[in-house]
Amino acid sequence: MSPDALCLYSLPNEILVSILSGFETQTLLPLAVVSRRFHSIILRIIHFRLLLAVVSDYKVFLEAYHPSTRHSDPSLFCSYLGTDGLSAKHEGEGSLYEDCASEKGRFAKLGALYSRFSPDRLGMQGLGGSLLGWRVATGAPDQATPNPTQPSYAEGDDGSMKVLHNLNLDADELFVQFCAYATLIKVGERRASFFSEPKLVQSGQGVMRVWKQWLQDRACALWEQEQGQDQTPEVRLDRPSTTSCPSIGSDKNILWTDYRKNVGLRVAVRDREGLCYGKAAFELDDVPMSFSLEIQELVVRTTHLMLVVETATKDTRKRSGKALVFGRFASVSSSPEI
Amino acid sequence: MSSSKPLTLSSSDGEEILVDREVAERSILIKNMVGDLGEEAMEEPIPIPNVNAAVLKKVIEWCIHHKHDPPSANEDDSDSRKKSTDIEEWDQKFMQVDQEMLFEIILAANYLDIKALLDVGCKTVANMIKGKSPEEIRKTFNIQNDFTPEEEDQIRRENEWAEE
Repeated sequence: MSPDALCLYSLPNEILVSILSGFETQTLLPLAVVSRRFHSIILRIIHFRLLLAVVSDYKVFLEAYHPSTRHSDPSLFCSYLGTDGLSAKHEGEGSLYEDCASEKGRFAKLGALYSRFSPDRLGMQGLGGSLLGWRVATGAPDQATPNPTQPSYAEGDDGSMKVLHNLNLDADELFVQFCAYATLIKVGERRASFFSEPKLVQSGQGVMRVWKQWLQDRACALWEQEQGQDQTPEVRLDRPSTTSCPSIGSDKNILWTDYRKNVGLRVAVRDREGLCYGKAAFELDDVPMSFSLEIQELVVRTTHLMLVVETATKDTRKRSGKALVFGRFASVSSSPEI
Repeated sequence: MSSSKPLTLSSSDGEEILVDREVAERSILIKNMVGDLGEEAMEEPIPIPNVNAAVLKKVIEWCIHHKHDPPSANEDDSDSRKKSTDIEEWDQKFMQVDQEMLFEIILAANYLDIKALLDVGCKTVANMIKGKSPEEIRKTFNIQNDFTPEEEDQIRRENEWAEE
């Protein structure tokens, strides 16, 4: 047919895409160094998988609690807010890779993306009435709940629900523990055992040390910021939870569950007694303190989310193969191979 | 349908091949053509300008073996990831050809719109890639590495997020 022998590169891109789409992300990524063409195709496949992962039919379920209230604190369903920078656009202006002249740095861009979720009432409503029975306090955020570490809920300015935890430190305590576990739950599926759910935070990993010093610093920074906002009200448009965050990875208001910074809570810290405002940290060395921790957002590295969704989908397939006929009808939409 | 006459396909190098209607209609391209042009037009040979006789015969061999497959079995199979290595035995043997023929078959299946054959072809290539290092892949498919060592190194580092 043609004088030149056919080779792999004679195939059009769409066929190379379908060849490489068969590979899981972890085996696919190392192949990006084969050549520029491989790199470009694999980047597109992974980019597309990220887009799919953030709209997958999994919902993020967050359990955040002080270790002493683990069994009394309610869990929260989270609604997806967005992934700053991620769009369907691959090339040119406004795309994620706008400032990448060559292949260099493109995968790094994907790895630096974060998806934001808000633990709120909307998320709960989507999942049936039983969840609405949770304690929903109508009081102002600074009205103490009887148990010092129990969370309370209060209406935010925009009608959304705030999730508040109180953290109390004795005079000699340098930190308190706080736990955050996030899992994925398939929408419309009955919760199976907790242990089989795809985990964004691995067991045992979600225990964090929240340092007194850090709490003071964050509380002071927020207090100063809010003081400033009173004078120039127009800045208020820039609410902390919605400011675009090109650098979530370096955001100081995030409590990370892991050193890789895959999953974290973006929080607003306030000193409940106002002791630390305007004071140097050392003045409060031996003073018992009490902070309120408002969980504003759950942030998840998008590539991490994708890998967990991928594993979960794979496991579902394994299980659905063995499912009873009754179960097959129920899962037909999510498992096309049946 | 049972009474319909066989079709004549004319390859790019001018060879005419007689094929049962049922077999030829594994190709959506031909099936649509028959639907669009009507029975009378099918008296004449159908030109297949992109495929030579050797490849066309190979493709027809596949279609004959698979003529009783349910026609829509692969239509909605958007997710090919689940069984990347799953190729039935007959197809595996069928695909034991040299690389050039393999890619010819893939291109022909793409052009003739025979999705199941295209899938088998893609899976075969995927299996050739599987488990190989980038260097081995370059060797297998005669691909030139157009990255500088420095670029290659940087891309490796960028992808470390996948190593959980």
